[in-house]
Amino acid sequence: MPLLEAKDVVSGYGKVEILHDVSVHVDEEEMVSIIGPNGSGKSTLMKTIFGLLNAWEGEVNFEGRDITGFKPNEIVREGLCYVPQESNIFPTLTVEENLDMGAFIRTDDYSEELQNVYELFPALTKKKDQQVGNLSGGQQQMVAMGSALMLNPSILLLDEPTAGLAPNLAQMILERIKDINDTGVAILIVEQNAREALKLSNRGYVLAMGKNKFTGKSDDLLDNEEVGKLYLGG
Amino acid sequence: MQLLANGIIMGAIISVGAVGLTLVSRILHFFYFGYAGMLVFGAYFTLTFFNFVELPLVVSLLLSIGLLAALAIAIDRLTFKSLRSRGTGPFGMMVVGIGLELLLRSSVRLIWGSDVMRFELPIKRALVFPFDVRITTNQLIIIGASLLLMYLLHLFLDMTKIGKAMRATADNIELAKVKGIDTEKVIMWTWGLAAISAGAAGFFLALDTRLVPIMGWKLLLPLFAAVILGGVGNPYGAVVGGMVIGLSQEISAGFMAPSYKPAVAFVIMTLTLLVKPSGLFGRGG
Ligand SMILES: Nc1ncnc2c1ncn2[C@@H]1O[C@H](COP(=O)(O)OP(=O)(O)OP(=O)(O)O)[C@@H](O)[C@H]1O
Ligand SMILES: [Mg+2]
Repeated sequence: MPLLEAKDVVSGYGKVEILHDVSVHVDEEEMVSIIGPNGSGKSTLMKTIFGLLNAWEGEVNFEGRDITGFKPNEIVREGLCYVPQESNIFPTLTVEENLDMGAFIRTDDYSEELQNVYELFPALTKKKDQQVGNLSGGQQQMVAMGSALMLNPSILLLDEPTAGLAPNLAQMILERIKDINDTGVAILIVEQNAREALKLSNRGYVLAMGKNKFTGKSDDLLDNEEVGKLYLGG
Repeated sequence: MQLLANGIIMGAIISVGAVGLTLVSRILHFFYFGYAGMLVFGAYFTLTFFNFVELPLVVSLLLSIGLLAALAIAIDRLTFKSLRSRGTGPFGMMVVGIGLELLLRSSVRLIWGSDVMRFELPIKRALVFPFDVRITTNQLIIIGASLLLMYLLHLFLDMTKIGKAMRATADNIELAKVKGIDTEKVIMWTWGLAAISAGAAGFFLALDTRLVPIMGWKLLLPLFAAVILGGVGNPYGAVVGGMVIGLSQEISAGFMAPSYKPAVAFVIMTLTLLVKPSGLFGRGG
């Protein structure tokens, strides 16, 4: 039984259908990439899984339970955490306050998780009391991810966590994501550094025009000539 | 110097009122014109408890704020809540807000009449400070109470979990939901905070001047100007913005007809929107 499964999902904005019967799944402790051209519906899929958009058809299951139609504030209580592509931080809150908000639904002590986040991203330690809006793009991504780790989720949904970052910084963030995955957290990641993301992942999906185009083991996708030419930039 | 003192008093009143308005505007995603009605109701409630029920002034104010919070939450439940769940945009919300303002203002006329009313306080002479600056005890109370109130609001927003959640929701309501924050509950708390802010500002204004049903409407432009200057959703910005607007308005009276005061607020607001729409402390253009 997969940990997370979206089955034949149809969804979109208003009356415009964007996703046409898209299916993806993630097994426990697995890292899975979703790649595809701009506008192919990758973010739309993430938003639908997390209940920010309604699935018009199809279903979303988590740990074998049907969570279709759950609201985001209910889904987060199930053990999924999501880092959106855009506006994924609270800019006028400090680093520590952002992490506090990541732990909002917790009523127990979470100092250990705080400690873990600062160990994973040492650059944040000195910035604890600074407003996140004033930090660099890379540090903002660290805050966004750190905040999503405060609940010890069993799966993390990441939408383009390296968008707009310099290549070396992007590589660093991807490696941290792999570190998180190595601690047993399953990861579903959308990445525009498709090749790098696939190398770190177990499996991948190619989405094009709102449909499943290819799917398979990362190595197979990386070796596939058509995928390479069309979606990995040759 | 006298103008400076007047500016500080006016600034204190605007600052107190702007804190609530900035949070409501940001969290609800529209400029709520009915806030003027809240100011007026706050002032008249307090006056009623004080003049007619003859309760102590502080008790009257606290009761008034409680009543105002209940009224604001009831209005939200009856109107905005269902509009929110239907995804009504800011324009629709704003029109409903204007309608509510008209309704609230006529209700004030209906309940208390249109005649000028005052707090029945013993008349005290103004205290004379150096440079022949005259400030009444009431005005000193206004300044002191605003400082205290803003400090308490700061503690609330900075230290409590719900206060932080309120700032987070103001920053990014979608992300707040993703973090598991019950944003409807935050909105209720925001109305409560707005009631404190509007109730106190309305009361201070009434204490410094008098009560007329139109008083809230007249303060609304300087309030919006303060909110925009400080960056919508930023309570600290609103305090600074309120002070700047209050001071500019009063000081302008030194070399312009006092009837131009609203124009000063309007000019500052327009300039902010042209030069730095995100406000003094906002990031980016
Ligand atoms: N809020 C919205 N309202 C209406 N249409 C939208 C909205 N967001 C996205 N779309 C449309 O949905 C389609 C898919 O967008 P989506 O953001 O899911 O693509 P994506 O694969 O994440 O692209 P990118 O790589 O640029 O992030 C696009 O055609 C886009 O124009
Ligand atoms: Mg996207």
